[in-house]
Amino acid sequence: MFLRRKHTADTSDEELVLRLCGGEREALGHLWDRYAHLLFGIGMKYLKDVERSKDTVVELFADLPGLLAKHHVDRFRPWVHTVMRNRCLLAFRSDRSTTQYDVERSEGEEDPTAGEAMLREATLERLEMAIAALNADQRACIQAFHLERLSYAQVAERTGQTIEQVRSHLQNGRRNLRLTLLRHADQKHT
Amino acid sequence: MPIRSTPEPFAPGTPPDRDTLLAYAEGRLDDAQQHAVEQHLEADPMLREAMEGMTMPGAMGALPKLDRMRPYTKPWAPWTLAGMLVIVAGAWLILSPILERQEPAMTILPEQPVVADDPIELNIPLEVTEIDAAVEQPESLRIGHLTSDRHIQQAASATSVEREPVPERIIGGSMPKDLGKPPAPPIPEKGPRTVTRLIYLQGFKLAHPDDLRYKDPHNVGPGGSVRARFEDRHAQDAAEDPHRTMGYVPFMDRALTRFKRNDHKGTLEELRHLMEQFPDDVNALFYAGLCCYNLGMYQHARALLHRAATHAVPVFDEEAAWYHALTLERLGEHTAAQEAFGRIAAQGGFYAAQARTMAR
Repeated sequence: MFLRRKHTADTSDEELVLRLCGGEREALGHLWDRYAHLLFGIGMKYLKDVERSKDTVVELFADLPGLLAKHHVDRFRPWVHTVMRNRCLLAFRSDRSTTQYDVERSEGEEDPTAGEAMLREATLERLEMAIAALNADQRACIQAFHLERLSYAQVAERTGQTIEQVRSHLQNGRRNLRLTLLRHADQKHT
Repeated sequence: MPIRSTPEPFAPGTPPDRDTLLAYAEGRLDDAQQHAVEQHLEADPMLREAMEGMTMPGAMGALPKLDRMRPYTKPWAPWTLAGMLVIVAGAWLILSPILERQEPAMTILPEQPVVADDPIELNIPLEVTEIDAAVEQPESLRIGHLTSDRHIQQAASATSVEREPVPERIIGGSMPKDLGKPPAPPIPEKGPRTVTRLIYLQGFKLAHPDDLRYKDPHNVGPGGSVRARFEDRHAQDAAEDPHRTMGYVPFMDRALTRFKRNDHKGTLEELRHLMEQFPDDVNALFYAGLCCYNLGMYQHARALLHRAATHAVPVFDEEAAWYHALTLERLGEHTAAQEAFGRIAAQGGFYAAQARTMAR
């Protein structure tokens, strides 16, 4: 069909990885569309250099079929994030030292997004209890951002804090929420 | 707010696509859209790191180049190629008589900077008498006021700006001695710098003054020299009449209020004061360049817009390059203008389509 298009928007990353491992090179292009700009941004964060960041992304994608053949990847997103970050750190450090380590070592690393699931799945009563236990700054930021759905800038304006302080309170607040919910779950089991 | 009234408070919605992320980085989203992206930033460490990097100087402009390095493009099927050849041949037969009557096609120069070196003097003094004598151009020739322009806020999505109380007007022609938080001339540095925030005043984009780098304003600027009998500007100022002071944000707010009202002379006079003290302020360079264009002061516009387009703080690089090309066209430098439009079209940025239209 002349106008037939294969829709990949609903295809998961892991499916694309499977296709790529099966020799379907087109999957590499789709993974590029989803991740190249994000990986480039990560490169910029660590390397602070446009050309080196671009090169690192291109090299990573060139190596991707080989890496995926070598490693078992359950979840592509955190894996490729770790690989890119490690490569950037290696490039960054190699400017100053010759320290070597396995940049593709990421199996068994904890998925940093996993803790968020606990917050989403917690019951409302427990969340309310955990939010009430936060310190005043963290509670104000969590409530404004997550419950009232204000942007960073709006939360900063309301609380009189900088955007960086707001982000810090949100991250620390969510970590404390997770810990509180975890403690509560442990107490329930024992 | 009770938690029960907010469904799934910790669950981000649909992941933002690339365009949304770029719009967020450029401060073009309204509050609700910003919050939606920020929910993902909170939940996704990869996105968080990527956005930090994407707001670094040069990152956004490099994305089109990165796109050209995509590793896999589906090969054309032979029958598709044959079909395309038939279409191209047909189009050629129809269009070739028309094309032969036109000038040769513009040369596209990929991988070149958006603005080429401009041989003109870039630091032309801006005299008050020149501004007074300038004539506002007809509305049809004005630039920088369309809602679709890149430096104009697209929605009601002002990045919150903590406004300082507006003091009295700066007296006469004297320089503002101190504009609150130092109103920054950005000083180019050797290493990369992070411009993390944009602000919008009167709907017009500005680099946040806190993200520009300042040096002590008291020995800066043409016309701001310190007379020999004084040790430095502080001593000179102390011996002279006191000046009224004004913060950078309210100062620019007032200048852009005038710009919005098409009072380009008034805006330019304000910005001239700022540039006397801070000659490399990218916000002032860009809007002064637009004013000069709209007042028919094209040589000034050319110099100012070139400096804004090649500034170390790349906030206006695309817009300034586009308006610089338009200025060259107005100056009758058609070859240089055509080359500039070619470069802008080849870069594939915000003004690429318009540049293609302008190119003959």
